[in-house]
Formats: sequence, structure tokens, C-alpha cells
Amino acid sequence: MSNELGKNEKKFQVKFMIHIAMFLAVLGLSVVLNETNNLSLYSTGFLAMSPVVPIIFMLRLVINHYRSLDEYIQSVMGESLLWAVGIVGCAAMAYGLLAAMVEVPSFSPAFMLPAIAVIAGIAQVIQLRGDAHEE
Amino acid sequence: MKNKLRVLRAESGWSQAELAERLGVSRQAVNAIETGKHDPSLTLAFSLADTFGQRIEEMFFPQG
Repeated sequence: MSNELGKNEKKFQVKFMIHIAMFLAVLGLSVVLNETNNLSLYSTGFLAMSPVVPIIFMLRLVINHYRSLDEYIQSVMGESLLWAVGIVGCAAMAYGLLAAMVEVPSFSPAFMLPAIAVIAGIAQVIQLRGDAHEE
Repeated sequence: MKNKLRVLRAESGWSQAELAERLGVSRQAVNAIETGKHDPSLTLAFSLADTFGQRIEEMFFPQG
């Protein structure tokens, strides 16, 4: 990777970790506030959904980072995301269809985004594995 | 699309990383173009041709 791209990658990683820390902080705060206070329904709802705010900022960060990447990495990331959305979507659909006929444990939709992110990351590593050897 | 990027790079004595640095792309991108896994955009193809002092049609050929 060229120096400029390498620097951008490091900056992105630092910013990404800051966003993760913000998410965890907001999540922790919302749980503590919800547990320790007797809040109204609206306040509880707002607190419950508040960790999504740093995630929205993180999404903006990832999209801006995507735009700064070269065309090949962009195409790899795009295909990885398609695989991830397809796999998670098919799994969710299969589970939903199964749940309609069989008693199955409930599953929180909150895990959908992390699942997509993890599978997209794995798909990206698999796709870039062929380019690992350097000449 | 076939290309003679690997040959030109070897003649110049550059590594993939060095060429990537000159082009402002990742080393993986250079590797993918060399192996025919990725066809570069017109902008990148012009940059490649310019880097090696070639014309695009001298570097890239239709498959077959």
C-alpha cells in the first residue's frame, strides 16, 4: 500500500476505534441511566436507541473512507458487502420462516449490523487473500 | 483484458509496492491488474500508460 493510503488507513483505524469507544460509552450510560432511574416511556425509548447515534457517525466515517480507497479495494469492499447482506438476509429469512412453523428462541435484530460487518470483513479478507503475495 | 504490466514493471525494476506508490493505489490493486483479476478504469489505465511512457493500446489488449 502506498504511503498516502497507509496514512489514511491508520487515521481511519484510529477514528474507527474512537467511534467504537463512543458507542460503548453511550451504551453503558444508557443502561446505567435506565437501571438507576425511573424514567418515562419516551425517555426509556430514547435511551434505548441512543447508542445508534455514534453508529450513524461511524457509518458516515466508513462511507468517507470507502470513497478515499482505490477502485480495486472499492470493488472488493462492494462485493464483500453484497455477500454479507446476502448471507445475513438469507439466514434471517430462513430463521423467520422456521419460526413461523417451529418454536425457536427469539433473536434480537440488534445483532444484524454487527453480523453484516463481521461477515463483510471475512469476505474481504478471503477476496484479498489471493493478492497477498508481493513481487 | 490482457496486459503487459508485469513485463513493463520488471523492465523498470520496480516492485508492486513501488509502482502502487507512483500510481497512488494499493499494492493489491497493482497485483490484481497484473493477474487480470481486475480491469483498471480508464483514468487508472491512462496513469499506467503515462507512468511507463506507453500508449494504452500498447499496454492493454482485448482477451483472446
